Amino acid sequence: MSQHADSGPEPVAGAPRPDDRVPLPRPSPESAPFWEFCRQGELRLQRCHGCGRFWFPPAVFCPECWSGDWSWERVSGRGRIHSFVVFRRGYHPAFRDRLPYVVAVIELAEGPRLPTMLVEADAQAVRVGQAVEAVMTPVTDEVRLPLFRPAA
Amino acid sequence: MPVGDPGRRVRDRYAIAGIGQSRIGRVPGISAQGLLAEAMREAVRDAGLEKRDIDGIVCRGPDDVYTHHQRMGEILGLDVGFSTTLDNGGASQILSVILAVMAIDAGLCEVVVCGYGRDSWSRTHKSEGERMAMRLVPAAQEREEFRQEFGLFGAAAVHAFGAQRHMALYGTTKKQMGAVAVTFRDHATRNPGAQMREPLTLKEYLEGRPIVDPFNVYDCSLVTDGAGAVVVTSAERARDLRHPLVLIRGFGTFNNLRGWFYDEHMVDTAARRSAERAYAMAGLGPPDIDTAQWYDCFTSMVITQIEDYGFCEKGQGGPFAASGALRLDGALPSNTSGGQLSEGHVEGMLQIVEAVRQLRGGLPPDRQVPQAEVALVTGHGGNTVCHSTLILGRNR
Repeated sequence: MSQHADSGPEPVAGAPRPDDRVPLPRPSPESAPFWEFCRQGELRLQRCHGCGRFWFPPAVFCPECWSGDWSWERVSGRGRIHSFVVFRRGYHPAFRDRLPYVVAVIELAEGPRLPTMLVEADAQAVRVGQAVEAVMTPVTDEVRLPLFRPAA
Repeated sequence: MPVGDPGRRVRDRYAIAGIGQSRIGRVPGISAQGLLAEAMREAVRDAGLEKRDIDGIVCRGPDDVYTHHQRMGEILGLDVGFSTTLDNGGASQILSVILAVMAIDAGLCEVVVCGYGRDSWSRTHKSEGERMAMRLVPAAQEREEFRQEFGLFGAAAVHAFGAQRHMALYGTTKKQMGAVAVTFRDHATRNPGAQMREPLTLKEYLEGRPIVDPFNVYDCSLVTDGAGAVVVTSAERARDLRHPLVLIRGFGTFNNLRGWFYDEHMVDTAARRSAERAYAMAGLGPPDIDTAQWYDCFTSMVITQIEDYGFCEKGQGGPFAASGALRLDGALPSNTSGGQLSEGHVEGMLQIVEAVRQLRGGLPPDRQVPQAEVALVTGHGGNTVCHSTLILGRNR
């Protein structure tokens, strides 16, 4: 898998670009399907057939009821900001030239919370509780990240 | 039976008999293990004990980045009955004391030295090449996904999520967080061993170099070389040793392993239930605490813990801190050595050492909490989810 694509889809403004050498996720056996769905442009989470709940991060069975009867289901990609921070100092070369940038914990409409980068957002205007939506963002030919932006 | 109640069996039966501390701050030319060896030797001597009296070692592991019990035993030249490392992040150091009590109580050993050391300043102030080759967090403990690809790095950002949510839910302000930083810095100016001894004003705090909003540089604890250690033994044995008896009156632990993002864990932390257990064991509550040594990795964590430990209502920790209550002459003198924000960050170990010092008494008047009889010490870490509590008391 190439980490540094020469070309690819136009990146979303403010999102990592293919030449930024963004540290890529190293999937586990449990999370590999999550990233494969992302690559296809879909945000899917595991959902329990026993109790009906979604969960994140990926795991071998439902953390609520321990049922092993589940499937990957597409989620809305809509949610709200549980909390957020604004990076003013670069911890990694790939992100140093885009300071300041916003990293948020999103509570999806389906329940689970996940960390992500918030793009197309004014760092001064971001608020806890703000509505956001997923934007599947390519960073290489093989990897798309589920980033979020303020909901239209 | 209430939580903590079974612990009444060990309440007041164990003691911290010795304390030791290495040089703190920028200490070149010595490893983390070397610093801890110095602190452990000092703790044993401080207790009035000899090397041959030690038959237990507990420290934070689990690998060569941290201080591993096997390596420490080798350096100290000890074969012992009980020896292990543990890893609860910043909650590890109080957990070491708890584990020492449990091991002594089970008859596995009698005198245990507990400690932690780090060379974080030296490790992060090498040449770029050397630094790249170093890892502060062992690879096996790093998240492999759902962090770095989103630009999420470092403990400051994770805790800043909590500060941001606390501000949004309760109206906590930067000035209130600043009260924590300014107060602890004032305490450090009175501590000759502290890493940061220049006074800090609220204005300087508010103009601090931004790191990751809502934190600036003064909200973050220090990068420190240093070590601390304590000797734990039975009250019976400690009674005949050199110093006034400092009893282990209660302890507790709790772990929000479902994570920082789950439920309201960012603002209602594992500290709350750890505190309940420790208070129940000790038969004490917030009004009994004469001094608190908080795990102050970041300013906001002090505010949150003040609430979780019941010193005020949830959401009122900011006004409580801003009222001056944490000052040496305040209602709850806190982090009287300067804490991790200003004395030096040794993952909570120095907070235990300082609590013992305060209870023994005899510090210079501008450092001493008058008539301190009960001290609270807290530990927090392990990626924000682990918490431990220690309540110490002077023998009455």
